[in-house]
Amino acid sequence: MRFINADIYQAGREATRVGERQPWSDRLASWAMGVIALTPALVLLGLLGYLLWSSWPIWQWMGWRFFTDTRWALGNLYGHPVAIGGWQVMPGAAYGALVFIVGTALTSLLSLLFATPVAIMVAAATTFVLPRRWRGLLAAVVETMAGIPSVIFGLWGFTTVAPVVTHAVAPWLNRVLAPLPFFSGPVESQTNLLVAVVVLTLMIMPIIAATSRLAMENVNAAWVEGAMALGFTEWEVFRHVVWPKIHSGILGAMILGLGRALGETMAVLMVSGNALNVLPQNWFSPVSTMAATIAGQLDSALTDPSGMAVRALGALGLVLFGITVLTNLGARAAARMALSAGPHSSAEWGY
Amino acid sequence: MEFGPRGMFSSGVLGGARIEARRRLARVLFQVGGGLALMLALGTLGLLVFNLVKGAWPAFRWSVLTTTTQGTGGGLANALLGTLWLGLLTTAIATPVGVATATWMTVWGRRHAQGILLASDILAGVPSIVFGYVGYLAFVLAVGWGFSALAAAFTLGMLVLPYVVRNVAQALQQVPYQLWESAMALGFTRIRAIWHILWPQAGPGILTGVVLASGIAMGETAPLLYTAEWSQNLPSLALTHHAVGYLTYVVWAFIQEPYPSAVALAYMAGLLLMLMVGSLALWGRLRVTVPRGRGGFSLPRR
Repeated sequence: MRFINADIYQAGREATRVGERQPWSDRLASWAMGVIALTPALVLLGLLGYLLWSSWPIWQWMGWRFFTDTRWALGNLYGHPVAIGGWQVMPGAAYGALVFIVGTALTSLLSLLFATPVAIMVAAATTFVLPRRWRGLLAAVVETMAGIPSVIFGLWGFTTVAPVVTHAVAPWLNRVLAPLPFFSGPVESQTNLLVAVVVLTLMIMPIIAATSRLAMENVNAAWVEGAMALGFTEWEVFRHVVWPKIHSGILGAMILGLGRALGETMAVLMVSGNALNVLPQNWFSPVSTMAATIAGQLDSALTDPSGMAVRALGALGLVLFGITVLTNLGARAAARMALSAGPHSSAEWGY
Repeated sequence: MEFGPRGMFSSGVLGGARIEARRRLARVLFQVGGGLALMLALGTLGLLVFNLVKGAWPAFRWSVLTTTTQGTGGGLANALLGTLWLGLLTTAIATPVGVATATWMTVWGRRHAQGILLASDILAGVPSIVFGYVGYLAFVLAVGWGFSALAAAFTLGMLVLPYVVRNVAQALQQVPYQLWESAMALGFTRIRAIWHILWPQAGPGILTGVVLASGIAMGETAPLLYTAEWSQNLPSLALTHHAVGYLTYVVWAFIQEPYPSAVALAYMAGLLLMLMVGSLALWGRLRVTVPRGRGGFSLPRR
């Protein structure tokens, strides 16, 4: 969103410069609203500060092992705390997040891989293929799916997708993909990586589709009309006129979808199997993500008298916070690249 | 062989019918692919709704809306009212802040507006459980409100603030600037022009933005688990030290229970959520699309 109007809204600033001061009411309003306008930045800083403060002992104690260890244990909660590096830690406790980091990366990247082609086809269908009067409505319906609460996707995944995947899809996949190491193997639990990926795919697809659709509509209409006049079919218009102009738009859409997948909590918590201490052996293994672990483990972490378990979840939160901030900045950069060519105002793009 | 524009490609020089057939095949494949992808999306939505209705059927009685939860049975009155109550409180907190922020960005912002929008957009991407974690540490423990409506509403308020800011800023941008210029020329002070012209003109857009944000708030689970916790009582006006029940908790917790009554309640809560949040989202989405078509294109249908 570019604040093009801001200059016009400040018409009269020149008058101010000639010597006429803004009346006191305006100066007061400008000052008060200006302070309030700092809120988003302050909330962001507050979140970062709290996460840093909360997780500080974990970084001092575990250091890089936080990223490389697979063991996540509260230790003996009835033992005497031991002092490590100036912090009280329960005996036997260890906080290594590798399982959750791997789980987050696998679920979000695999679901991105599956969701992107479907989303591009959905966006193309609602821009090119459908009869014109259906396009807007169906695009709206698909994009509304992005607004369905994630816990409902979790409910559906838990009750419907999980049994179907484990009892029907998994045996078939095992027959077809038998020799492949990661994509076949014993089905260890009904909620597993594959179920999480299927549910996440369906959750992030509408987001990617909505943003891709904006990129497609941003392509210069004259080129499309010219190509149609030359006798291009819909496919040829899409492939040779639209597609070359929307690479960065699609990239931005994918990064937005990835951001949602990385931070998704409830749906993953309900369908991923909540693995602890074990890395996934194949895509039928239970996994767990950072976000789901924070939600699922906070209850038991509160029973740790040394408070380290809660701080370890804060460390997970900090990593997650950092990753999602970076993905969002990446999406902005990609969207800006996409915009530099298009005729639309950035206001409609959302960036 | 056909005449007209497409006949150019099918001239004998270029190899004629083979090329034409391949082009037609590519076009049909494109259409079929698009149709299949769309059917997958709509089919998912359909299955989701069907599954909810089917599962909620055993709990289909009016008393679900009027009785409170008892253990793993009973009704959903406490959760339904709790969700509405939390949505209302959240909106009451986020709306003034969001509207003031968006107004300042539009009227006084200039360069700084970009910075604020950047912060707001980054905030929109932060996972909801991070809000939940910090909300628990900050409002429940540090401030000392305990599990309460106020702790939950402040947590959700932080979460929906960026949506309010962006939606309201967009609504304000669509007010014709000639109105503003006229007001300035007539000697309005800015605050007077904001109050009498900018806000009333952008009113419907602001309303849409706020309603969309409250829909997002009511569909959240993770930020509430450790701020509102859960209660079987109807929500009271006590803002602190009283836990609040809400629909998303029922979906999450009751579906994993072994009792059929609990499972039916979970489906029922999901259905109610879907009706509330889904219809708000669709309504908002259909209203927001109005300024489409300018610079856009649509292909003629063959």
